[in-house]
Amino acid sequence: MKFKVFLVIVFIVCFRITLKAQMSIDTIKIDEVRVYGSYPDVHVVGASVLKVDTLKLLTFSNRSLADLLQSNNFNIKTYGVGGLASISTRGGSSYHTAVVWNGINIQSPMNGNVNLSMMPVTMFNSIKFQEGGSGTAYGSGAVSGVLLVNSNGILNTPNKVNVGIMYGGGNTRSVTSGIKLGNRNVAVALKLYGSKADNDYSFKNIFKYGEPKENISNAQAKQYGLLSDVSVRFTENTQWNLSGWIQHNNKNLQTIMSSTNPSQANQTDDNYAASSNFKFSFGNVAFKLKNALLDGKIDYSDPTTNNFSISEFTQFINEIEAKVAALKGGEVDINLNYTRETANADDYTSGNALRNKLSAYASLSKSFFNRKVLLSTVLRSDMIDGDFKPTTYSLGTEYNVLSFLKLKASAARVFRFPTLNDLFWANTTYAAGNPDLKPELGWNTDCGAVFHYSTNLVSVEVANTIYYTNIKDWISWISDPTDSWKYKPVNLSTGESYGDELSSSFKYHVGKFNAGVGIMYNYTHSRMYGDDDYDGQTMFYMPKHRLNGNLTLVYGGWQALFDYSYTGLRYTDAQHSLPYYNVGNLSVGKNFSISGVKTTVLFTVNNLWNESYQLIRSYAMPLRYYQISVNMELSKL
Amino acid sequence: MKKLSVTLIAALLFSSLFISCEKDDDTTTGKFDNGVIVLNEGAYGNSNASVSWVSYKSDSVVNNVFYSVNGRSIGDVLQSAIIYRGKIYMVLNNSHKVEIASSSDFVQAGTIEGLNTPRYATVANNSLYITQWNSWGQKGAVMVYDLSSLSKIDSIPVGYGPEQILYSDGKLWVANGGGLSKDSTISVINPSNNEVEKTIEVAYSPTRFTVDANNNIWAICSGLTIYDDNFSVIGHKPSKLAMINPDNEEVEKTVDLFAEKHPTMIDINPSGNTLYFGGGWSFDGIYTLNISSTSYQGPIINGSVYGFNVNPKNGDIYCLEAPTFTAAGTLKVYNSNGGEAVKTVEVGIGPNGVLFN
Repeated sequence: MKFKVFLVIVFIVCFRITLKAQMSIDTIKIDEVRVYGSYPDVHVVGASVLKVDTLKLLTFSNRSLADLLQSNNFNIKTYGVGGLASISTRGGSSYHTAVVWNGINIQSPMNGNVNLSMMPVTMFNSIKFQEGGSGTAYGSGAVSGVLLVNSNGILNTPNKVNVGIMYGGGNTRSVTSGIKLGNRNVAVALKLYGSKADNDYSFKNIFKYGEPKENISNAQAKQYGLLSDVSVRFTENTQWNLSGWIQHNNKNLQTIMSSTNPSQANQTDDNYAASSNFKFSFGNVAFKLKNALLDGKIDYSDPTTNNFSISEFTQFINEIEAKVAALKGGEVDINLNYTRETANADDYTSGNALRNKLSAYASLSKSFFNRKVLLSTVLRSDMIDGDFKPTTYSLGTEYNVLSFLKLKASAARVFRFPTLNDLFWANTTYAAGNPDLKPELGWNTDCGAVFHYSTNLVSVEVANTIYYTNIKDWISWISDPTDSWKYKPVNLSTGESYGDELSSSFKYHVGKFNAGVGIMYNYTHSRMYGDDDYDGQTMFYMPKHRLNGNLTLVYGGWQALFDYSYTGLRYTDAQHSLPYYNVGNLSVGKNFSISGVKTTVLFTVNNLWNESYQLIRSYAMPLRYYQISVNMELSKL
Repeated sequence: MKKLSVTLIAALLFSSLFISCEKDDDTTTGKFDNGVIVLNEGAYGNSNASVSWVSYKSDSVVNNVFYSVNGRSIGDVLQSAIIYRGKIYMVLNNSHKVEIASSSDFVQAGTIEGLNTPRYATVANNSLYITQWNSWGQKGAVMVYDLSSLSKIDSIPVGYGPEQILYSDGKLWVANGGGLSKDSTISVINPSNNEVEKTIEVAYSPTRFTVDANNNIWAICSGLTIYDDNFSVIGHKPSKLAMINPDNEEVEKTVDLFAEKHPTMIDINPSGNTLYFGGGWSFDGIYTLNISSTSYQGPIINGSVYGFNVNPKNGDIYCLEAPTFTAAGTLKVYNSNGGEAVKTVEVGIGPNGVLFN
């Protein structure tokens, strides 16, 4: 009992530390976290399902979404340790993958990016990845895939308090903490986290004669955040969720390998988000009112070049949705969304930008043959500042052939509006925005099969999806020789990609012993086509081959995870490429209970065989380094 | 467990397939005499500068020369280079270093590090003189290194944003181009004591030099584009040519060029009586000027030429085009009268000049 009291005290103390010293706190336990491509709602039907081993989730519980996704065969671009990290799939760029929090697309309207290195895994109750185009449901930007993270939905989760600490290479220290209290009608959850790191990992400088071993410089980072959720069930048919998220990230931008002078650049990000979800129903019609306010500010400074810039955006999102049962087992969903985007930036024409977006979509879902076949279709229309944009639509289907075999297929018209940077960048000596840009428009189609078989001893799952994506009027910033070589965004070319996504897992269980093997492989053929120098060019930073394998062993309270990933050659421009790399990580942990407090001690060796590699050209990644973490959870409150 | 092992081994074998398929990319070899060395800046911040070699006699091209020979990338923004006694000294602007290699086979031969935004170099009295901008708000400097030991000897303060440094008539001439500030001077340095003995006032933004048949020094002054706080253009300072008599270090002639256009490159024909100027960022075409005249002719070559050099043996004009900074650039060779290119080859990204090897 004393230990329980101690744990609660630790939580409170840690909370104070976070506020005072920017150290961190957050919960480490995720009730259900899956990374997969499926259909989070009735909007899209058809694609493969990829699940992450539970041990992998535990291993990454004190780390960022970028680390977790990279370990699950996703293509992550990272500007060095803790730097801007973004995800790209199926031949698309980072701004072609939407990131959706509690149903709200949180991509920056200024550049279309979300920094996944600033999003700790422990912040969320649910993490999913939906491959393929879902723009008809999630709007502009959901061209190649959608990363869906949720922090709400806490009414049915157990009350608990948890604390985790981690220390590791690069003098990285982090504290996470969480508390959730409530009953089935009212619940409150609070998560806090913070970290501080020198990030002075050793690396091999391949840009220098003799490839000397050096330490990464000017990469220090401080990060803290607070995320709270309140859920109230007024009646069985009426529920309200309110979420708030504050996040601060202060990051020195690391010296690139090719430079012999230390960087002095710094970037500070401050993000604030609040969302409200109110659900109620009348008869057989269910309504959802969604409102959100997002604010993001970036303060960049580099005294060596006298480059100081501040940019800030605000998004006000309002949405109403109605679902009604229809057509005997079918469902009709109607959605209306109004979003107001404003931005201020030193580099914008007249310093600011404003955009009003209005959209509406309707979907119909219906099952046939005793739910053996499911069909879903969506029709969407968008209006921006009074102008109608091309209508988009999608169709998906699933067919449960046998109890262990499911077939899936989908096709979607996808689109992406130009970002505010594309449209409003001021006409300067070196760059200019382009207010005449058209939206990118294209197709994303895929089909696949899922095989699943399990007994008391073994479980086997194999999923495979093939896809084809074609995006016209792809927006690229290029130098314009007809206008003083200024960099300008233009609807340059057509992006085409096709490929294969294979995932398989084998699990064996007997007594106290559990073992599992997972293998994921992605083949991506991606090209740009157009009447220019880019014709036939492989897309930059998009590997043709990616492979991930993991081996898990559990016996009693002991656990071990070996994780291996291979990433193939990546072009960084028309003439240069980064070579393939192999990275392996090993984690060993022990779970035990002290006075009812579940405790996990985990020791991880990252980059086991000292691979020298880059995710972005000239940005060093660490050689072998170590991490140790202790996570504790008390759930009987 | 047996199935487990088999699966894991299969996965590792599978990965080795890709390893063998893709490991040997970007490899080419060759000797690099009897051709031009093309300096490809690459894109700023992308660390993809490179060197190309183009044969005089054929269309043979070797790209990524330094990488191919030494197995490493050369750095970020290859601003300029010189060849001296069998070695090439390559100035990497945003890597803040000078890479040294054999000019014949490009085997690496040393690195000078710790510079601060270096731009150009020259050799005098067995010393390497390198101009550098220094940090924002600071005036530039000429850094002096011993050619044999590559150790630093001296640092000579000059004006803002020093660009080309020329060794002529026993003196060093530094074009203070303004850099991130503005300047309109040329510093004259005595290499025997490494001191600035005179500062000559010219038009705004002197950037490059050439020497004519009379041993006079010509500087091209690009002029300025003036912006307000919202980056709108509110005015210009004109571009000009300045002819300096090296004996008295005075400007003896000034030729007005353009009121609102800003060429940055200059070179001269083998007989030293016809200047070629133009090119650079945001300037179209190449023009000529007879050194005894005050009015220029042209353009004799049209298009966006990012950099150019004149072959000192036959007068051919080697023009570099950098249509984008992510795709390959182009080298076009013209005869001395301009007109249509007699040779066109694809080179590296962002080419800005050539050396005649």
